[in-house]
Amino acid sequence: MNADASKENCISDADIVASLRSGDSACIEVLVARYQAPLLRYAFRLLGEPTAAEDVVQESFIRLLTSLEQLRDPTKLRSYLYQIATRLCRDQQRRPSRREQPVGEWESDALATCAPESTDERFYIADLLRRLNPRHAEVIVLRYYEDMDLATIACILNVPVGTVKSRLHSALRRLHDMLTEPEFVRRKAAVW
Amino acid sequence: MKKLWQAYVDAGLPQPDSAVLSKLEAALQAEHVPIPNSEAQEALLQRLKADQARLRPQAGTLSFRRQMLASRRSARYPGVVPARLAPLFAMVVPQMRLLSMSFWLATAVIMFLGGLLTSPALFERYHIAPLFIVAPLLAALGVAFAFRSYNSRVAAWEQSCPITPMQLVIGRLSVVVAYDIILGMISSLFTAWQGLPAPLVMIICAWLLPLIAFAAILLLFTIHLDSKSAAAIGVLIWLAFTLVTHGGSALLSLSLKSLAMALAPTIGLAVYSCRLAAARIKRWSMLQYAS
Repeated sequence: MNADASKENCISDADIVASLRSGDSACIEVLVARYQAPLLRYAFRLLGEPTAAEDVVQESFIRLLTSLEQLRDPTKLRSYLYQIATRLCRDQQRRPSRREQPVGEWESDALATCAPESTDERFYIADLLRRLNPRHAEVIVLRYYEDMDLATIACILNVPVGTVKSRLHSALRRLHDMLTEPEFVRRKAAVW
Repeated sequence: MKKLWQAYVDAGLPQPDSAVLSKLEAALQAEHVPIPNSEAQEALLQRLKADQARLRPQAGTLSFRRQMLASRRSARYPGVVPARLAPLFAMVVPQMRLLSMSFWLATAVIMFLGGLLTSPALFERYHIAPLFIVAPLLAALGVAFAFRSYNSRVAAWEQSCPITPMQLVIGRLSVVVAYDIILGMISSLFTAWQGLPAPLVMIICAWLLPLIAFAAILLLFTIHLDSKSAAAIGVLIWLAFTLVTHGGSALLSLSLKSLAMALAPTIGLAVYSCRLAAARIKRWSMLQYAS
């Protein structure tokens, strides 16, 4: 297991891309092992629903394989994957059927989950993110959960760095308003 | 959480009070995030491995062409052509082979004849410069001749080559137009040396601008109609242009600034024509593959 993990770490993103381009299927395992979980987390945080997030992840990998030639810089594999996932999440968000779906009403056999807590507490963050504008939620998740720098976020969202900064600023302000909203605080106070 | 706290400080925003932040921290620790289990991972792997062969770029697709060009670029002209220009050469050289010797000879003879006949005496007496008359017409007919294959079976063969429609259009136009421009330059030098009463720059602009404009217009007609209809329309436009501008000589009376100002829209027209032609060829080729 450790040997597998160290082998996985030795292979760079550029190696994965080169290997996929040459038709080698061995690197798919490394690709999935490296990016499935982060992409699932990312998609879940944007969508708030694991089944939809799972679909997004699967579709992201398929789209990567079909559009591999469009990836000019193989070292940007991570950004490229997140870019695909972001677009797919936006498509999902636009679907009217999922807009009304409440946060937290899911369980999936295919997915393992973290330690269970009370439902409201577990989904407090998801609720916050869901109440944000989707464009603001994207920058918050990429910046503070995925720990990406502004240039990488700009690359993923295909916007200038200045736009990322302004979205982050607006998102933080909105988050602050939400956290200090009397109604929201009162509603959550019961949980704690 | 520290990062979020710091973000509020950096952004100069009012920070949420510590009670709210500590609650947020507790919620972050309790956050329920799905993690793919081994079954889900295995299922995804099987799906991707099964799809990989099917999803690889196939012959005839844009990705396939890019792949082929990328693999051949460096190998084709090692050391002779700079790497950045190698794709251009890869496009132009095969196009040159497609044009017959009669095309090269006929163009050269007509252009040089136009240059020889453009004498100062003829110009002073009749205000006619044959070079200005033949150059745009040659370019226009050359474009119609070079793009005639878009209504023949050769086009299907061309579409199977590893170049994009845009590269094909630029490659073929470069061959015809660049050849005409080189011949026109030589003829212009000869004409100026003979003593035509106009600066060399004006002489060149007087045939170069109509040449580019005619080539662009004929490209559009050839791609959207057929080469014979395009050539006929081209000749009609050329006749009208010749009558209005007195064989192109009227352009010599314009100022250099006016000619320079006309250059930008002319080049814009040429670029627009190339884009439209490439889009047309691409759409056509997609229909071919679909059928």
